[in-house]
Parts: sequence; structure tokens; C-alpha cells
Amino acid sequence: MDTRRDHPYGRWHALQVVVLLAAAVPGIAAAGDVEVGAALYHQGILPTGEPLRATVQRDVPLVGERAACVNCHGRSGLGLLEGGKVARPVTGALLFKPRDSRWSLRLPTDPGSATTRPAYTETTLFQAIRSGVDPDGRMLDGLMPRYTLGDRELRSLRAYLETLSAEPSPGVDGETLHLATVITPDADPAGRRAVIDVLQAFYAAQRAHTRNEPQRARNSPWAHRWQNAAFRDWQLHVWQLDGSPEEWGEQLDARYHEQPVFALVSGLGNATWQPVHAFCERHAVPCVLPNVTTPPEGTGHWSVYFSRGLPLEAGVIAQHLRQSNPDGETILQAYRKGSVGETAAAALRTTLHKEPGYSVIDRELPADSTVIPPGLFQEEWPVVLWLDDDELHQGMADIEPASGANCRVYLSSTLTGAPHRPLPDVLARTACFVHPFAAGAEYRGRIERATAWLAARGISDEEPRLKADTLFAATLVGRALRHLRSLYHREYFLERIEHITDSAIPGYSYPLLTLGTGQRYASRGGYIVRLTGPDPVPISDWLVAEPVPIRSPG
Amino acid sequence: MHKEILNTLSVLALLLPLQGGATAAGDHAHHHEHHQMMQSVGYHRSVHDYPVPAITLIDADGRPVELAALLGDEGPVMLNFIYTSCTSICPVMSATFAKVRDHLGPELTGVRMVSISIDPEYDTPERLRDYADRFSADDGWLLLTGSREDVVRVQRGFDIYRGPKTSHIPATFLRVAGDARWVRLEGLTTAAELIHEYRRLTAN
Repeated sequence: MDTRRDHPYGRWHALQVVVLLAAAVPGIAAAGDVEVGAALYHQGILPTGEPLRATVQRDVPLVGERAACVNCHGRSGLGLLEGGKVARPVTGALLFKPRDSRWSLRLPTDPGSATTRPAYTETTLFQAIRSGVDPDGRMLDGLMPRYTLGDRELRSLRAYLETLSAEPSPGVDGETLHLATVITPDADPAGRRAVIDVLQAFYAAQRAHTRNEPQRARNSPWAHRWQNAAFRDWQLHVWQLDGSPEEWGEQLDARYHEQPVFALVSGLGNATWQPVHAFCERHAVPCVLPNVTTPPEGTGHWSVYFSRGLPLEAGVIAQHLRQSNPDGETILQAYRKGSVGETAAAALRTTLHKEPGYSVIDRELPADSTVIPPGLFQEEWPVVLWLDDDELHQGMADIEPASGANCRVYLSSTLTGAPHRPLPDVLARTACFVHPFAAGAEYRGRIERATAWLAARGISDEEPRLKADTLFAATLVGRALRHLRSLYHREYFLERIEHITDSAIPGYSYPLLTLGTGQRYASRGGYIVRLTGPDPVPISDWLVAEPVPIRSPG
Repeated sequence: MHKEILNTLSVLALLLPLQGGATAAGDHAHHHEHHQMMQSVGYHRSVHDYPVPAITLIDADGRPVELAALLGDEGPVMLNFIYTSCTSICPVMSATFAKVRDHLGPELTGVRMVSISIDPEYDTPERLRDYADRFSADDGWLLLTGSREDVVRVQRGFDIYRGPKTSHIPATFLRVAGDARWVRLEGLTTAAELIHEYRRLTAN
């Protein structure tokens, strides 16, 4: 997914820009047209519909989208830091103000140790964009492109920069920053307790650490004010939904209107997360790492997920089958109607359908019965059971599937809670598990990082994986919030999440979470493991199942 | 801003504008070149013996590529490390490769340009193909991905692994046929500088 294409300005066709401009032309030339500026900034499209042109590194041409300001300065305009190269903030509020980083705002994206410059004026800004000379007469880095732009286009760009991250986002005032976590009514009760316990412990610990901050902010020496004024008390709201998914959207809107929140942190879902995802898009609220098994795919800007969930697991199983039997075979899969297993089964069917030699036979179990037909295991075919631990306990009491060197039965670690929840003995011994998490001793090590912290706060070791991932989500959100200094803008927050996830301490259950500009799923593969020892034993490589992206035109 | 060590090579020769090269900004052309002359070289050149690990990567068409064979074969090689969602440095390095290809023209016959993704799980062959198309990369410029483990190995081999991908450093590696040594250009080069380094290497 490419965020730029999903951005409000991202869908613009050059023609629309021309039409808009033509409609608005009289009288705007002097003041600059914000929409024209936005098209320049985000798309690299000139008002004529022609691509923007620039020269970078003295002799390298950049054209159109590649020359767009957003690439380096970000959607927020507050800058990015990549490979030791700084793209400075370019919002009107910061450009037209003198900069002295000895005692003024110092952003993580603009870490210059003690750089000063006078405020930009329109003249010096245009000069910097055209010829790379800053208001002090110094040359900007060669990485700042030199643009061929007329006064009129530049005035429009300037008008747009004035609007960029101009107002703080909702959900934060002078003292408090509001966050919420969403729990759906069909979420597992033990999981619900785990998520809420962890988040409450985390924010209580934060409050304890920062109890002197308000005073520090009030009595700050002037040289430290920029830093201490950034402090906000982080207040967590638990939004427990009820009723059917069709009603959740309205409930979320009502909670949000009652108390806007800056972001959603963690959360817990079950059969569907779509209404929550849609809420985040509707209100432009960053929604960071909810614990969900079927996140909506391929759409949206504001939600960041651990992985694609069960569809990813289906992709991993498909790869493992292909490795075990490249000539293809028949696969039997069972799921309960109306459960998340149905989504997983659909994903496996679609994936294997494209593979020559494979056929998939579905066994849909009725929603109201716990019986698993013994006939499932009569053939020599591999069987994929998209069932949870309860369903297996109730339905598998008298069934003994054949075992062998190859995997005859596949189960999902996510659905069954393996290796943390007990399973029917015979299954635990013989089944292969698709395990989109770290494996071996690394798995335990990662999770213990979190459970040790939680144990010290009196929180049980039940649901350790869920607890570790929840604690990680809260920690990551906290780190990104601190990066904002006093610039509480959601787009900047999301850019920080995109950039800092890779370097976060891996106190989560995955081998590695990584994001980047426009990336929304942080882990992209899984192992096939057996549960013959205390730790999940991998019997495959890390199998990556990244879907084929939809190609952009041109 | 990160200051690179000033190189000892002939700065003046490098700063001559490319023939038929950059389209300097209209009225500002004179002003522009004047400032170019004042800038110092933005990269550091060094020579190394880098072992190329025996790994198989995947190209943008999904075909397996033996890295040691690719980099050790006949003909000169230009190598860099990029990823498709990188914000500032990689697009510029790729645009520089594209400009060098464009400028060298027939002189480029037999030169292999290779860009290895340091975000291999996200950068599927399809995403690399899309990226290559944006820079009009042809058959002489291969974009490669692979397993995370292998990509870390090759980065370590070239002493360029810095952990998280956003901490990566810009560098270009050059080698001529039959010579085990690599020229490392650390930092961002202009297209003219890269061409100069290439000619300097192949002239010997």
C-alpha cells in the first residue's frame, strides 16, 4: 500500500487540479491557491497539469511525484530523518519564525545541535526553493532539490505550507492527552482482562514517573521551556462496544464526540474489526496495533496492524504445502460458519486456487454445533482446522488424526492460543501450527521481557503473548508521543510510528516488527512449528507471505 | 548535518558541469553554478576487499540470482542498497543511477547496476518492478530482494549494515572485471562524480 495514493490529495488527477484552478482563478494569483500548493507538495503536479521538475545533488533530475516535497518533508511537513540526512520542518508556523535550536523547539526530525537562522520571508523562501540558499546565505544540502518554479506557483506552495500542521489535532489540550482502547463485545473475556490490565498498569506507571512534570513545566528555566512545555498527562479511556457490528460505528462516534481522543492504542477484537477501522479513517485518528485476527486489508491510512492476521497465516500454510509437495495435492479445511475461521479459509482457498495441482475441499461446520465429523481424517489429505481451543476440546475428544513426517494437521497458534492454552493431548503432539510469531527460545525471551515487567506490578502471567503485544503497543505510542515535543499533530505522530518501529526494543511476540512510509502491517510471515517441547520448535524457515500489491498506473 | 571527510581527489575535475547534463534552473543558471563550485565533495572514497556471500537473491521478475556470480562476472558493477518506501536518500540514489545510465549511453555496455533492497519482506519482486519502472530501469539494472537473513549477510559483507533500515547510510560500490577490490563511495554523489569514479576505475 502506498499512503500517498491514499492521501486526500493522492487521488487527484492532474485534470481535476486544472479544473479547480480554472474555477478559482480570478483574484487568487496574488495570495496563492492552497489547493494548487497541495498538488505541488503531495503530487509534484504543476497547475498546468505538467509534472514538477527539480535538480537534486547538483545534476540529478527529479520529475513529478519524485520531486514532490512530501517525499522528504513528510505528510505533516514537520520533517523526516533518514540515513543521517535531515529534511527540516517546512510548516509555515516554523519557517516564518527564527530558529535557534539552542533553546527552542528541537524535533527528533531536526536534531541540529545548535543551528540558528532568521525567519524566512517570502523572498528568502522562494530563493531557498529555487537555488538552495537559506536566509543566512548558506547553501542547503545537495539533497534539497532546486526547483524550477515561478512566483505564482511558489505563492500557492507557500499558502499550502501555512495550512500544514497549523492546528493541533483533537484529543489534546494544555494539560491532558486523551487515548482510547476499543474492546469489541465478542472479544474473549480473558483477553479483555489482559488488555485492560496491561494498559492500566502502563498508564499508572507513566503517571508515577511523570508526577512532577506539570510543576517542572510551570517553573522551567526559559532555555528548557520548549521541552518541558510538551508534557501532557496521558489519559486512557476504555471504549467497550456492545451489540452487533452494525451498531459499533455509532457508538464509537458518540464516545468520540463526548471526548475526542488523539489516538487509539492497542484494543481487542474478534470476528470483525472493520467498524473500528472505518471509525479511524472517518475521524483521521491513528489506531495503533490492535490485537485482531482479521484486520481489513489494503485500504486506509490511519490504522497500523501487527500483521494481516489469519489471511497471512493462510499464505504461510500455502507456502509450506508447496514446499512439502511441489506437485500439488488435495487439502481439506474445516471452519465454523460465521467465525473468523471462515475468513481464514477463504484466504487459503483463494491462494491455493492459483497454484497448479492443488484443490481445496471445505467442510463448513454449523455455527450451533460443536461436533467435528470424524470423516475429516479418513483420507490421506492434509487437514487445516481453522478452529479455536474451545472448539477443539469439545469436538475432538475421540478423534486421533494420523501423524507422520509431513504435517497431516495444521492448526493456528493465534486461534488456539498455542503454546499457552492447553489443547487435546493428541493434537498437541501431532499437529503442526502456523505460528506468525518468533519461535524457539527467542519466543519465550521476547515475551518474558514484558511479563517480567508486568509481574513486578502484580499482573498474572496468563495470556502472556497478548499482554506482551499490548504492552508493546502502549510503549511504542508513548515513544512516538514524546517525539512530538509540543507539536501534537496526528500525521506527524503516524510518521513517527512508521519510522521508529524498526528500532524499538522488541518486547513483542514477533521476530521483527518493521514499518516504513505507507506501510501498515508490521510483520509479514510465519513459521510452521511443532509443540513437542516447552518452546515452539520451528520445522520451516520463516515463510513470508506478502500479497501482490495493486500496481499504480504509469 | 553529517559532514563527510573531504576527499583528496581532484575536486576541480569533478565540478565541471556535465556536457548536456543537468538542466539548470533557467534564469538562475549562472548563480546556480557559482554555488556548485563552492560546494565540497559530499562523499568519501575508499578501497576494500569485500567478500560476496554465497547467497541467492530474487530479481524483480521473481527469478533467482546467484549474488556471487552476478557481482563477480565479466564487466564492471555498480552496487547500492535501497528500499522502496525510503523517503529521501534512496530515491535520490536511484535517480542518480538513472541519470548515470542515461548519460553513459553506449559506454555503459556490459556495466551491471545492482540495487539490493534492505527491506526485503516488504519489497516483493512486484514492488521492486514498480520501483524500477519509476526510474526507467532496463535490463542492465537489477533490483534484488531475498530473505531478511541473506540481505543482512550481504550488508554485513559490505560493512553497511546499521540495524534498522531508517539508519542506513548512503553508499555506492564499484568494481571492475577481474579485480576483487571494491571502491566504496560513502555519502551521496552527484551523477558527474559517479561517472568520474567509474571512468577512473575503468581507465586503469
